Amino acid sequence: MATAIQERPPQSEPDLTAGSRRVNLFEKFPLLKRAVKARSFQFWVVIPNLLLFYLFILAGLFGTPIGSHNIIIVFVWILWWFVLITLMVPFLGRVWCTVCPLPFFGDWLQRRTLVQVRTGNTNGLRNQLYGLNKRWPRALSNIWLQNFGFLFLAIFSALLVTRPIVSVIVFAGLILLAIVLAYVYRMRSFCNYVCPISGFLSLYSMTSMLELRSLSESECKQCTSKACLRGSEAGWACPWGVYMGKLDRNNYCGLCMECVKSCPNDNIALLARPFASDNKLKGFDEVWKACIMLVLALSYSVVLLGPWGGIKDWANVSESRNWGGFALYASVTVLLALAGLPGLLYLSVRAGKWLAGAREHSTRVLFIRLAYTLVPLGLLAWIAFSVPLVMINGAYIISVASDPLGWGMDLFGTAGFHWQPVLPAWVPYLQLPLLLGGLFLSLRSGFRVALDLLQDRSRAVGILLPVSALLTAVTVVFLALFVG
Amino acid sequence: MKTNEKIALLVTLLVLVAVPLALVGYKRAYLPHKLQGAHVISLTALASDGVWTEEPVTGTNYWRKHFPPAKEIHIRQGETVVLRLASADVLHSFAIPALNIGPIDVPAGEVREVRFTAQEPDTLLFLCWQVCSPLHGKLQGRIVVLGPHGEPAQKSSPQEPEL
Repeated sequence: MATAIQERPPQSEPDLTAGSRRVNLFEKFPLLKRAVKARSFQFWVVIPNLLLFYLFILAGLFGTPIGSHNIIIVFVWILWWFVLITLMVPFLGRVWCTVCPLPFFGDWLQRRTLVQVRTGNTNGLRNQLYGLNKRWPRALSNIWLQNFGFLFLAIFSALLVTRPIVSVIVFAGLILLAIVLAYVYRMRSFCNYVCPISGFLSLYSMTSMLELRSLSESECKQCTSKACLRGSEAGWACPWGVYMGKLDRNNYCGLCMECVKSCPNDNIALLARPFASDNKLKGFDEVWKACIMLVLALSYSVVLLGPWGGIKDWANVSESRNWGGFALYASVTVLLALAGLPGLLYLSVRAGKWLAGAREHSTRVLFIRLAYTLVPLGLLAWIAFSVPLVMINGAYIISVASDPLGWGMDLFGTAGFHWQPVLPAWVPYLQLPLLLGGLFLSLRSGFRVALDLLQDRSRAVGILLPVSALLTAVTVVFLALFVG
Repeated sequence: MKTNEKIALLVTLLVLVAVPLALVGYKRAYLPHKLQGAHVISLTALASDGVWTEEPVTGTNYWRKHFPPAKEIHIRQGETVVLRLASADVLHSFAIPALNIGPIDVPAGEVREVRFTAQEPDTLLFLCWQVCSPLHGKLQGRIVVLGPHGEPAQKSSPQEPEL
C-alpha cells in the first residue's frame, strides 16, 4: 500500500554529539500538553494571525502608500521580522509555522474542516483528504525552489519593505499559491517545498532550543499504526510527511502538533535542548540555503545599514530608476550567494581535507557536513542586522499601532508618537558580541561535526582550520560593516 | 457538525467579515460622528503630480495613477469645515493665507486636521507653503465660499504670490 511519505533524504540515527541535555516540556508543564492535545489548538493559535494578516493586506490595499505609516510594512518588516529572527527561531524553532496563517485556507480546502479530523483512506493515509492529492514532483522534492524564491524576494527587498502594495502582492500571492498547491498536491507541499519563509526557518531551526521528538525510538519501531505519519481518528497524518520515529532534525517539522494528538502511545514530546543541537546538513540544497542566507545578511547590512548612499539607490530601483546600478547590485549579490561563498567554502574544505588527510570521506560529504558552520554565524549575523533596525525604526510600531492605515485614527492615543531611535550609540556594542558569539558557536559546531566525521581531535582541528579562517574572515567583514 | 467545528467556522467567518466592516465603519460612521457633522474635505498632497487631490491615495492606486488636482472646492458661508490633510510622498505644508490658516506641516503618511468656518462668500487660495518638489508651484487650489443660499462671492481675496 502506498503511503504519503514525501520524498526526503533518508533520516539518519540521532546525532549523539549534540549531547542529551533535554527537558520534556510536556512533563514540566502539563497544561501545555493538554492545550496542544486539544483538537482546536492550532485553529486558536492561527486565527489571531489570520486576523492580523487580513488587516495587513487590507491596509496595504486601502491604507497610506507611505510604508513607515502602514501596518503591513511596520508590523511585518520591522516587528515580525525582529521577533521571528531574534526570538522565535533561536528559542522556539519553527513555531512560526505553528501559527502561520498562509496555509490556513489551503488546509481548509484539503480537509474541509477547521478543527475535526476526517477518517477515511487517501493514498494509504487513514484520513479523508480532498483535492487531487497528486504526488509532488520528485525533482522538486528539496528546498531549491525556496532558495531561489527567497533570493528573488531579497533582491527586490527595497521595494518589498517600503511599498505596501508589493508586500500585499507577495503575501496574497503566497496565500493563493498555498491554496492551489493544497488542492493539487498532497498535504503541505507549499510549506515543504515552496514557501520562501519556510526555507530559511528550516535551516535556522536547526539551532533552536526547542524540538518535537519521539521519546522512545523502540516504541516507534514496534508501533504498527504509524499514526504520526498515516493519521488516525485522533489526528491528521503529518502534513509535512514526517515519520516521528526517524525524526532527528528540526528542518522539516512544522510543529503543527498533529502527531502529539495522533500518537497512540503518547510517545511524542516537546523538548527544550541546548542551542545548535542539530548539526547535520544533508544535501546541496541545504548548503546553498546556508550560503544564500549569510550573503543576504551581508548584502542587507551593506544596503540598509551601510554609509553608501549610491548602493542604497541601486537597490532601491523603484525610486532611483537606476537599472544599471540595480543590475550590478543584483548580479553581485546573486553571484556571491550562489558561487562566491559556496566556492570559497568548497576550497576551504578541500584544503582542510588535505591538511587532515581525511581520505575516508568524499569531499562532497565533508563539504555538505562542514557547511553547517555557516548556520550559527548566519543566524547571529541576521540578528546583529535586525537589532539596530528595530532600535532605529521601532518607534514607528508605537504610532502605527494607533493608526494602522495612516487614515488619521488614534486607537490607543499613540498615533502622534514621534519617531526617535532608541539608544543608537549602543548598537555596535550589541552587534559585536552577537557576531563573536556566532563565530564561536560556528567553530564549536564545526569541531563537533569534524570530530563526528574523523573521530580524532587533531585531525578534526586540521580539517577545520581553513574553514575557520573563512568564517573568521566573514565575521571580520561584518564587524567592519557594523562597528567600522 | 460538532460544536467546536461550528465555533471555529463562526469565528473564521466573523474575522473575514468583521475586519473590512470595522474599516468601513470607521470611515462611514465613526469619523462623521467624531467630526460632529462638519463638512469634511480630504486633501492629499502629491509632489510627483504637483497636486492637492480630493481622491483617496492608497496602496492600490498610488503607483499606477496620475491624480487630478482639487482645483475648486465649494463650501458654504457659516458652515463648519474640517480639512483632513495628508501627504502621499514628502513633507508638505498647508496654508490658506486669507483665513490665516497655516502653515501646517503635513508629514508623509500622517493626517492633519484643520477646522474652520468662513464668515462671508469669498474665493480662497490654498497652497503648499514650503518648497517640496520641482512641481511645488502647482500645489495650490481654490476654496469657493458660497453664500447661505449658494450664491457666489462678489469679490475675491487677493491672490497670494506663488511660493
